[in-house]
Amino acid sequence: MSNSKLKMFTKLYLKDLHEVTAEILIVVIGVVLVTIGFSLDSEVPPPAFLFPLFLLLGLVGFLPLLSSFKLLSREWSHNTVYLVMSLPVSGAMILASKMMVLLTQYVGGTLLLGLSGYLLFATKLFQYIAPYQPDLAVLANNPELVSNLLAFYLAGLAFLVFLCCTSFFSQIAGRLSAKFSGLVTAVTFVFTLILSGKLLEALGTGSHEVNLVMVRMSGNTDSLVNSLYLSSLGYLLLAIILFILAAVIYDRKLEL
Amino acid sequence: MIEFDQVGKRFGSIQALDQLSLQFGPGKIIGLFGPNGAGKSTAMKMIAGLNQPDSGHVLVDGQKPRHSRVKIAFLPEIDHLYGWWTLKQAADFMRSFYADWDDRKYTELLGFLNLREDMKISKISKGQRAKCKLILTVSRRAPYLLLDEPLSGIDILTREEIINTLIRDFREGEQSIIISTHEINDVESLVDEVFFIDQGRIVVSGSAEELRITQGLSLVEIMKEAFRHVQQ
Repeated sequence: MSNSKLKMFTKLYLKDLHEVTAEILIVVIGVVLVTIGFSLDSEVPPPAFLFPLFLLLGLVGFLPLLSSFKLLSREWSHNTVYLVMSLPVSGAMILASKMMVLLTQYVGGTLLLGLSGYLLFATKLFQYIAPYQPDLAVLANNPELVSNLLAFYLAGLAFLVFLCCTSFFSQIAGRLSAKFSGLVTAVTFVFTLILSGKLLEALGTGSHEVNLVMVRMSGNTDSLVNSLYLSSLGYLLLAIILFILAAVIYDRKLEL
Repeated sequence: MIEFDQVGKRFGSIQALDQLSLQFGPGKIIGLFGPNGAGKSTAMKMIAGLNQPDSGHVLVDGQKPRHSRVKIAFLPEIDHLYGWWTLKQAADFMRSFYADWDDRKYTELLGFLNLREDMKISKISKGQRAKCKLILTVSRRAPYLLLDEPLSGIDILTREEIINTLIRDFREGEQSIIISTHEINDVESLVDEVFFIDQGRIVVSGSAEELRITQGLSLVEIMKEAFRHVQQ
């Protein structure tokens, strides 16, 4: 009788999730402090909270990429790769559990940040700017705005998945070299990003196609949303290719 | 059965394994002996699927090692467990991956080796870590146990406990234990079959008992003799 793949995946996921506890705590503490701080302080003008929220948004987007390097490189630096590579599971499952952790980190962070932003908007900012922007309430209930925000969010998610897959691929490629593993990883990472950019450009799905100014001038947000979805699709396809390559190298070529 | 057929492996300028051919039969305790850098660990890692031959091939019951991981319980020389784990968490992890995990054996061994489940891997002594690694390996009913330098850097009392554990839990006929070490004294009484390896080649091999009788020497002395000839 063999153990279920789901059980194995869950164990790998929980183990990897534990490895990024510090990064998750940084975001949670940051968001809680900003939310409570601005909710209690009536002296500070409400728009001031936008700055730390945007800083936190940058952090939420950047930390998973940093974690992608940490999650994989730590297996080697702590020798736990001997345990992981001895397990009766494929490289795809090992990498998928790490990817799931990174997505949890990103989605959890952005949702928490979104909640904080909504609370601060509802309790502070709305009353502050409502007299100057009476259309704001209408804007908040605008389904088109929601659809645009969703397109931006999904594009960000797709780009993050692409970056993390590039990170996995370049780190595993780097491990093929006994010496200068870090250098090979860095060169592969940069080279893969450049090559991917060229490829997407050639296919016409790169994010440079999204011209926000043009969209705003023409008032046609459909083209913006379509561009974002197309761009997301391009990044996701590349991410899948890089993920498969990384898993195949992990299974067939990687040695200790 | 584990087979090495004309296996070659090179790391840079070092020839770790040199046309190595051997067979580890089932149901025995096998010693893979040799000095540091002889190629023992490379051979062990190859069986565990962590290294691949440059030439020749390694088969575990007729399959490539990476397809046979479920049959192999590997104890590497280095500490390979997560430091934040308690022994209980480590055992839960292993239990999820291996259907041959034996809870009864694990519980018995906890008492036998004086270990507690709440021990945190990063907070315990080297000897206790060695025992934790051992319990996680031996608690499986895997057909092949690979123990790479299981006694390295361990005090004499812990060594005895480890050896007694192996003797106590060896299931003759069902399981093969392959012990790689350069400290032959400690495991001399344990092994049925021996392979002396140097510079990636087998220097002497055979039944431990037969070698002792025919050469009138202990395994330690046989190794010294064998490597003296090689060095000359």
